[in-house]
Amino acid sequence: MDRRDFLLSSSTGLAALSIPAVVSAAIGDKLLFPEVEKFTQQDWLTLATVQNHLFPSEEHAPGALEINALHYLHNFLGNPATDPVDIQFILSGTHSLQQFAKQNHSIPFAQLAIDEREKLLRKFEQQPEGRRWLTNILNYILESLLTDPVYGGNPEQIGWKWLEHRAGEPRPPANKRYWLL
Amino acid sequence: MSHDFDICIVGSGAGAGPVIFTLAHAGYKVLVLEKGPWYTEQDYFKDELKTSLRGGYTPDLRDEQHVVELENDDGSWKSFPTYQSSWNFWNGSVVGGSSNFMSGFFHRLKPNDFKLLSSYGPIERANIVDWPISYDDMEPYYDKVEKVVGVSGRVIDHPFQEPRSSKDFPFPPTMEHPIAGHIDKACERLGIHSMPMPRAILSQPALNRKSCVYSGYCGSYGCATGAKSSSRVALIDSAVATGNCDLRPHAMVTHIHSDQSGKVNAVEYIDKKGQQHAVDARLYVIAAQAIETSRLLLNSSGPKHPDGLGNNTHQVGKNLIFAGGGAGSGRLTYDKFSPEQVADLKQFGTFVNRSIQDWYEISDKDMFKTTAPQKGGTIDFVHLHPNPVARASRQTRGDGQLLWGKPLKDRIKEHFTEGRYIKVEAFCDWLPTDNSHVTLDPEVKDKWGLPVARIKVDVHVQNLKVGWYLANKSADVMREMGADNVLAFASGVPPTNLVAGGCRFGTDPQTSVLNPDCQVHDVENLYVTDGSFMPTGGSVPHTWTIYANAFRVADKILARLGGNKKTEYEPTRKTG
Repeated sequence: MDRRDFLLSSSTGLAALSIPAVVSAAIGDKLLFPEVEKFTQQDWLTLATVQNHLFPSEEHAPGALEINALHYLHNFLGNPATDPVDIQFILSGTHSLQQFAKQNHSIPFAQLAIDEREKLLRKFEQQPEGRRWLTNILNYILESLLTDPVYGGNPEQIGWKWLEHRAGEPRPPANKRYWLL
Repeated sequence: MSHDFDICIVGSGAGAGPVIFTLAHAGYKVLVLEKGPWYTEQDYFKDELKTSLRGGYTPDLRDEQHVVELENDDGSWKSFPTYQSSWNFWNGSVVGGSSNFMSGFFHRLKPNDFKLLSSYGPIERANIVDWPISYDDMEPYYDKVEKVVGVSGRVIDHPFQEPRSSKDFPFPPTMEHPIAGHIDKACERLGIHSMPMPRAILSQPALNRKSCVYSGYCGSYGCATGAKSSSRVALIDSAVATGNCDLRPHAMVTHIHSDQSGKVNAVEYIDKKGQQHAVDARLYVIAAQAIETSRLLLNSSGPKHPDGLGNNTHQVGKNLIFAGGGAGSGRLTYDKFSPEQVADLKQFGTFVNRSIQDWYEISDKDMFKTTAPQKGGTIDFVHLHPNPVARASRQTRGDGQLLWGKPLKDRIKEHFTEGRYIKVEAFCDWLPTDNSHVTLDPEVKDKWGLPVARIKVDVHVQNLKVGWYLANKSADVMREMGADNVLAFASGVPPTNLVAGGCRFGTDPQTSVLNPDCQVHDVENLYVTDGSFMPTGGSVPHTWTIYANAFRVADKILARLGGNKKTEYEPTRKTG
């Protein structure tokens, strides 16, 4: 069983997994970029859980896990072109959500049942900052789904294939990703 | 007196390229100062992140931004720096400027566009004027752009076809998507003239350039084959090959110095390493795109120009215009069409290339409360932009809340796989008013410490009326095509990539910045050749007219310098 099958077959989803397993599965064993050192394992778990909730895996449609959404987000937050303000925004929102979960349920967000997560995220969305954060997280998921695989998401063009999308040629090589040109 | 160069040109886009090309090929020493990098076809990829989501070809807004001033619903005004917003007025700070990223929808202005005031009369609160030149003055240069820069198309007879000196375009139309046939049939049933849209894209190898390869990603993207007629590939490459053109990328011009007589005597710029330089030339040209041209003039005060270069009558920055109009879309849902039609509709890469100009002039008493003809505009039919992230992101907008989870995935799947979208861009005049202009912001500065441009944007109600009229007409066509989910609307939001004015040309220095030759009235050795010169914008995208006018002014400059030093132009650009 590979890691994807393992995660998908987990009856209670990501919440049943240990923190190292989820984060390792999503962002691999690569060293964290210095820019994202402030993100703890707990933060990555919260982000992975939110991504999985917003864009769940289905039998015939890839979810956040299959499109490497956390790995993609990690790459975005760590690349040198990313505005530190954007990094801080993602981090602050993650902490706000964690705090919000504790206030409402007294347990970490990642341990909530799916319907409880939904209710909590909808409440979080009512706050202007919460909505802005969720909008951003959703956009990064969709980037992971549909940008060129050279950026770390959309492995083997899984997103393009799902949506019968034709990419344009020429595609960007690794040495000409946007922050390198 | 000796000079470093015969002519120094600030900028390298559509307003600069014709001057660079003409003078370099005529044997004059040309210096081009471009603030952005020098990319070639080998650097342009179909990369949505770089092109559209991360602003990869425009300055970092943390370093260089603008301040925008917009009107609230109650008539008060609000302003904000663009870094703190989703606005971005940069359009391509690279060699060749934003012409690298245009869609190349090329339409000429019509004869009446050169005399809007005398043709249609005044409109309250709009600073409409006639141009100091006529369509006949510009026509040879429109023709030149077709042949030298490269425009593909096919002329058909329709009510507002402008006069042409060449019978047809030099290059046949680019390949067309089957959806064009659906538009043609719908227009025929409605008694409307559907016309092939001219494109600044080569449909066959020519001019030492390759043909379009129909990647499906054109507008917003740099061209990897050289088929798109950017200023860089069509004009600058061959100018550089003459050996007469010194092109310096990463050169940010910070000040244009002028002497006691008011003439320009040096251009100061900062290179990539932050080192300051000054150069001089016999003549100078600014073509930094409308907003930045006005800003540079306003930032360049001198002994005879205390309020900014060429601004002694306080006209610099005034009458900024955009392209007015509307937009629309509809979906040809696959289950309403035969399998063969669906297979055709799913084709990818070729262009829609259809326009309607039947309402370039409108007579509609119900809409405009007058029997007098009104200036109308152009409807262009295009594909929905293929950028997949942008398309998917739009599906997250739910009813008062974000859509996520399976409902979002289902909607995205349907959007991408159950129909083909057609989109409309309608163009009308963006009327110039006293409240649309560029000034220097008193507080916000760029990374070099220079005041940034403060852009005040005013929307005249006539823009919206005409925009609605055109949008509704386009909706009729889409419904006749059998489209579902038809939406059409006028827009008061300024398209930040279609901007002109700010240094209008005219005969009276009290009401214009440039004379009819686009020389700054009271600066005898300085010209402005980008879209800044336009007093009104026509009801089409501006780019063809900017190219044509720059060729016209280039001829004036060439005559002033003494004419050709060399004989006729022979392409010297390398092949392969």
